[in-house]
Amino acid sequence: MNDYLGEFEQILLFALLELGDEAYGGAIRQAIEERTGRVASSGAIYTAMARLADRRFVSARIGQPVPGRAGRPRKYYSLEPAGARALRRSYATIQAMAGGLAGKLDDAAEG
Amino acid sequence: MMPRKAESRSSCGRGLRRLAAWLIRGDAARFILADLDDALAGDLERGVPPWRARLRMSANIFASALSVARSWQWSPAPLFVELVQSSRTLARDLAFSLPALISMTLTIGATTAVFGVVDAVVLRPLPYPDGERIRSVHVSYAARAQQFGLSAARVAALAAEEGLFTSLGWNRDAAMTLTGRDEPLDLNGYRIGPDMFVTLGAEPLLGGGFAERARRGERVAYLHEGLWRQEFGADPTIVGQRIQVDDLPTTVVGVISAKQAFPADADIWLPLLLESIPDNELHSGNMTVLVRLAPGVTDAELARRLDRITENIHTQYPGSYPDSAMRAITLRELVVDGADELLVVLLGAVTLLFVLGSANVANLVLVRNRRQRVMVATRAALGGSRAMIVRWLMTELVILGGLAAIGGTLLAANLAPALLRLTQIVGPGMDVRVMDPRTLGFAILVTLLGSLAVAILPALAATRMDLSSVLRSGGLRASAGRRARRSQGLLIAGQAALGVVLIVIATQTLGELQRLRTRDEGFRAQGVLSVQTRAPESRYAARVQFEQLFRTLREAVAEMPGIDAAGGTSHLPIGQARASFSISIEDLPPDDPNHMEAAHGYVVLPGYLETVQVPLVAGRLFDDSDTPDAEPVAMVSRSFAEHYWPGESVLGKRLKRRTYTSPFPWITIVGVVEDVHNDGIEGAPKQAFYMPHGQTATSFSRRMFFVVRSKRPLDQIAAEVRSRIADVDPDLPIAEIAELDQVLRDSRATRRLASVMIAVFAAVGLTLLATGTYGVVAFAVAQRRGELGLRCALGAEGSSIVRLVLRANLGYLAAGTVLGLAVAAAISRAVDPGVLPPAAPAQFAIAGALLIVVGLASSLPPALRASRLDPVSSLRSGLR
Repeated sequence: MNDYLGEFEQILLFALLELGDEAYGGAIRQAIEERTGRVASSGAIYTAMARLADRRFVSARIGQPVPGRAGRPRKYYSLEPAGARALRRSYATIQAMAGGLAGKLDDAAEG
Repeated sequence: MMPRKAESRSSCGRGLRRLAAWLIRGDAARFILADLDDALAGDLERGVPPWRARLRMSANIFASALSVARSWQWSPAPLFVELVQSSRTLARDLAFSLPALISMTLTIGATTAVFGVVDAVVLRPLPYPDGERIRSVHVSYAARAQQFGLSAARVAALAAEEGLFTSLGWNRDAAMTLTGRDEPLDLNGYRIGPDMFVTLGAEPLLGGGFAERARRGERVAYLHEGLWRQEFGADPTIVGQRIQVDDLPTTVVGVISAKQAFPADADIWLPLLLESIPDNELHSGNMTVLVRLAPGVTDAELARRLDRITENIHTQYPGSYPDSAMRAITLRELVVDGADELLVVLLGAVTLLFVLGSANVANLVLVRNRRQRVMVATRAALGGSRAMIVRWLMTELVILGGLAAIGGTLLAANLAPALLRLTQIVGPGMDVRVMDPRTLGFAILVTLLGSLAVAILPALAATRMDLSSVLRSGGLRASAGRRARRSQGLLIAGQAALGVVLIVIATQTLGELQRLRTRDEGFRAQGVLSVQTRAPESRYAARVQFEQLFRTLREAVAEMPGIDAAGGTSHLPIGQARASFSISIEDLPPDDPNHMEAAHGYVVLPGYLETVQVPLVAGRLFDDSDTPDAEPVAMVSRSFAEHYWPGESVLGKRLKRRTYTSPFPWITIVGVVEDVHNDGIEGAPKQAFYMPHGQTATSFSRRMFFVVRSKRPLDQIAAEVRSRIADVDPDLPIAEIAELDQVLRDSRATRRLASVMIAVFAAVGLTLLATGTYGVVAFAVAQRRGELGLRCALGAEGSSIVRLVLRANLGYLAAGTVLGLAVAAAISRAVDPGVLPPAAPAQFAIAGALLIVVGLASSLPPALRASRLDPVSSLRSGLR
């Protein structure tokens, strides 16, 4: 059960998948907001990424200092194969469970 | 446009960035900070309005700090984490935090307000260098408690003393008018000795050299800072300018700061040289005298020298100053004038409030800690040090204390000025400053002391427990000792007693206020307008001149259309200013105490009593036949007549104004009128007499309140009166146009303020009682959880549990109420009935009933909770 992913972690991994080489904190945050409308705090993204990195689902590298940021570097993340597998598994689990139930779910939620 | 916008962006970012850097710590901070920057920049690029971007940035910062804190991966700012965690716990536990917060806020607010007043009046140094060396000298008579000013003869004798003081000053109030401008302005003027400000050690804001020029006989003036700002636009070149005071050219030589002004209500100071005082005023005692003691001179020495001066005076002017003595007091005593007794009472009340309030909160904390024993024990078992646990418990109190300090300070800022007004002290530099370091410091000190007192014992107790037993029992096994229960009961009793006393006094004062509002004042204020004017000495030098002026003015006003009656008086029947005359009564032996009496005197124009509708009881009113050449006449009030000639007709009896030297004639009483409540609005009517203006020379003869009664709107009348007066003499100063009704209402303001304050204190007392009782009962329920669970298990009904819990504190509540009623009854008997009428039995009954109801009502929530206990779980946790 060590490859369990929380919802926020799944969202983060999908964001890495989308962004590829350009996945740093600010870009991830914007991607999440554009797709889901949810606002994630920079700190939340950072701490979650650190946990995922501990589990070797993602890797991080430090970029070159960018001008105009008081010399502070960005941290770039990329999806590791283990992370991709874990994401595929949990997404498949959800899909398997959800199959054919969308209409029922809507009814239950509305009613 | 663009550059400015960019600038504002970067500056908005800087503040937020600093906040972020403070909140988010640790190795990773720099990455997160960089991301925060990106987020802000991205928002702005996408055209998000700057204020929204800033808002989003702030939300991001706080949320980030929380994420970082929750993850425990780095070491975030520990204080912040604890504050956030504790705030959440407090917000969830409103049953604890709300009563605690209310108790603390009220306690801090009341304590700080009283401190603010005490600081203003007693603690803060006088605004003069070495001000504690200044003494004021006054005269007292054996027969009367009152203090009198010094006569010129005494001042001269004092001034001749050597080695006693380094400087001597005096002052005497004198109405003055600023003229030579469109609208003459009435001023609160003072005539002062050349060295008065030297004696005080006051440094003028501008200019100086008053003493030298005054001594040369020049007509110079110091202006009050307020007058200088309002009337002269704070003109920096004012020194050396000539202004017109009472139509006489006067040179401004300086401006005195509002802080150092003495007396504090003065607008302007002009010189008064002893040599210029005419012989016939040599013995009228009306000067406030200040001396600055010479180095080494003690108060005992000063008293001895004053006694010697008095002896000399008695020899020099035999018979003129019977039984008098000269006494010295400090400048502070002069200003405070006995009102400090009120301060002592306030201090006592507030100390009591502080103790009760703190005990309240301590109680609530104890209850809470008991409920949290498991959490504390778990932390301790996991290796939390004692210091850490104490800090954790303290953090909650720091939050509560912080909120309470803010609320309390705001409360004090509103309360303190009202309290100072109540004391009626007006002195140099004696204003309440809540938002200054001293008072704020005091508020913080009170908060810290209160929180510490409240927290330290429970916190230490919580950490000293036997961990394994607490964990095993679920934390609720221990029960409080008998002593703890008794002290809690005493707390309830004390608060109940305080509450009863406050409620009784509050109902008394509110009832008295209501009674005053509906009382017959002895005159009809409604529909009466009063307009004050003064005949300047420069243009109306002789008596005949201003007597003629006032007669003309009265006729001019009385002729106006729609006027029912018009007259004039030296003093309004209400308000601060009254004149007291020493009088002699004919037919009374000289050693009769009534021979040397004082009564309020009114110098009136014909038509005055008709205008304010004071009914005539016997004899006649004044009319135009009471001229200077006619026989001197007077009217007296009903109580005057009954006091001096009980049961007799007073028409034809005679009285005279008495001074030490001057030859006033006997005056025949021709009429008696009803009493007017003229001694403030609260006291019993004072004996009063009325004299026609034409026959009476006084120091205030040049001033006149014209009164007009009309059914027309009074603001129209005011404009017309103004123009009628201007028709007669356009340069007459017009001051104080007022509706008598309004003056009457204003005169009740102080009393109303006092009532409101007492009502507020009563509400505070009740709230403390409610929160205190709640805390004690909640504590008891928590302790007896096992027992109560057992009762439930054995089939006790919920209602019987409620009864059981309520009954437990009823005894203390009742005892406190009885004690409070006794104290209230004692106070009611001790207080002068003129100040506060004795309390009626109904008021005691109401107070007692209210107390019991509030006490029981605040015990109800924990009692109801107890009745809903789950027997199984409470038995399991409570009885092991």
